[in-house]
Amino acid sequence: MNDVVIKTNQLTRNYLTSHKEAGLLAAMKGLFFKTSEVKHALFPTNLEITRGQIVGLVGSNGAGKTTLLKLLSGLIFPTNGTATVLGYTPWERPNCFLKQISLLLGQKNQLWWDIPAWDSFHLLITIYDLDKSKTLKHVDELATRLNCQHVLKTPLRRLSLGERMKMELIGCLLHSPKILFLDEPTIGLDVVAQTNIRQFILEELKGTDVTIILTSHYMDDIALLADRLLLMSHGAIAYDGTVDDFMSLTPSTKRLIADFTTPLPEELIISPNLKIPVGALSFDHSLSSTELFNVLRIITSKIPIRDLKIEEPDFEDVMRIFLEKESSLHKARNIV
Amino acid sequence: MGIVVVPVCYFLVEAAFWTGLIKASGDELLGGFSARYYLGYFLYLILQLGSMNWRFERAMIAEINNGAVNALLLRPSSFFEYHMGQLLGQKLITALAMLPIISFIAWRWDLPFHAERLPMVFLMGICYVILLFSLHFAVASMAFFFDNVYSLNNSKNMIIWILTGELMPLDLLPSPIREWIIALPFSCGFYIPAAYLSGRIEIDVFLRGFISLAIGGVAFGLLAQFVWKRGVRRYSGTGA
Repeated sequence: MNDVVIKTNQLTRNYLTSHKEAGLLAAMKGLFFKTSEVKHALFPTNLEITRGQIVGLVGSNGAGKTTLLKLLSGLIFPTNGTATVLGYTPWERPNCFLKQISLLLGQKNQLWWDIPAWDSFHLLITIYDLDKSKTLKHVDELATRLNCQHVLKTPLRRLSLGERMKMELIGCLLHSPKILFLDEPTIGLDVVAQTNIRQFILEELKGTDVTIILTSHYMDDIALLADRLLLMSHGAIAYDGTVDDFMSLTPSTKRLIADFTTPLPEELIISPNLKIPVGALSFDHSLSSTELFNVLRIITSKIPIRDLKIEEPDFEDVMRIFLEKESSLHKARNIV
Repeated sequence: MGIVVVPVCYFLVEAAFWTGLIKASGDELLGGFSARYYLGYFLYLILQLGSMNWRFERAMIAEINNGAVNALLLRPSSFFEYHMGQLLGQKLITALAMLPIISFIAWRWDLPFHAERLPMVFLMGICYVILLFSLHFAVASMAFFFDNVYSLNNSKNMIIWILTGELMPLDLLPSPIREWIIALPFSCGFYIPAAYLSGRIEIDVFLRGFISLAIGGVAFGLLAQFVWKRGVRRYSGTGA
């Protein structure tokens, strides 16, 4: 299961965006004197992904995640560089390539809006040239697994977001693709629906030959599913490794949360950089392991405590710290 | 129900207009043809083969604008074939469903209608639909380049409406404009098949229409392919 299915070499994508000021005069001026700017959505990127990997692609908005996904799925052409996916150049979109991949867009329906998903699946069976009875049996199994058989024959527009997403997922898996691109599959879903989708991917697809590239802003998706983490920042890959190794990158900190029984009567100075103001009812701060014991000792000896919690940083916290650091480094580079 | 109601209403409107026009003129003939011949001419409207269907063009433009085209780009089917298949299917079903109605109207009011010419007329209708769709496709593909192509599309459709002879028989145009417009492939959308079906023209003029259809089909097909390829190359995956 070690063969490389996705390989990129200096893959780059820039967008030319035009600017226009508000107002009629600006609109008239814009007809003849248009100001444009080149946006580097993806800097030259070299990447290799092997068969069966689940790759979590994360980053802040505008980092280049979806651009990378669109390039690898063949939706857009690159500005420079090459890529091969399953041995094909994706943006040439040969049918034999398209029959082996699937793209699920969490923010956009791909099934037909006015007809039931059941009808859409019949249409997809024809489009993908699939065996009808086998595929319908597969649909039935997937719908049972996702607990949505009862809405298969309801027009898509009448379904809730969670039910629609389940139908989209079935539509994506109908032709048993070798590579699945999931762009924010749990966006906008309630907690139960998110868990259902995650569990489904975990139980049905993880550990199989299907390679999955998953983008999500929900860190639970990545933490639970991804074998490999690609963190993107400002059009480039800032981190490429496992989730566990990523967690160990940040300095060991713990979060101390203390609630006081009465408001603090006077300011408490714990250190030159750490003070609790007068009237405070709680204390909430991330501290290094070395600081924690000292701060805990001072607080508990000076203030009557109602509740006390010490929390380990989770994946989301680590991600946030990393992205904030990347963002300030990027700003500093731009100023220089 | 729309398949039956729309074409019949369309015919009734034209029938009322031309009958009224000829009566108001105070003459039995207009452009050398009687009211009966004009009604026979506009019977072709009921088949809807040459009539424009703005729904598909608007759908194509909207899909490119809002990113719904992504789903079709990443499936092993062609955007062109997907929409043309739907359009051809709709046209054929409408035409077949309207055959009994057109035959009844022609029989009931003794209108000029040569039923034995229907197979050739059908063939020309299908060829024309493919030609016209290629042009629609080329214009719709301009949605890759411009924010709004609806007005361009509407203008194109207005011009075609005149060039096909659907607005009025091309016989009424002055020479030599009449000959130039009949020579264009658009006349195969309405004037040539309607005139042939009603007996206004004979087989020689009818068959010449296939030549202009073939030339126009190749030209618009190449244009559609060119605009589409250029458009897809600059597409940024809207909506994804």
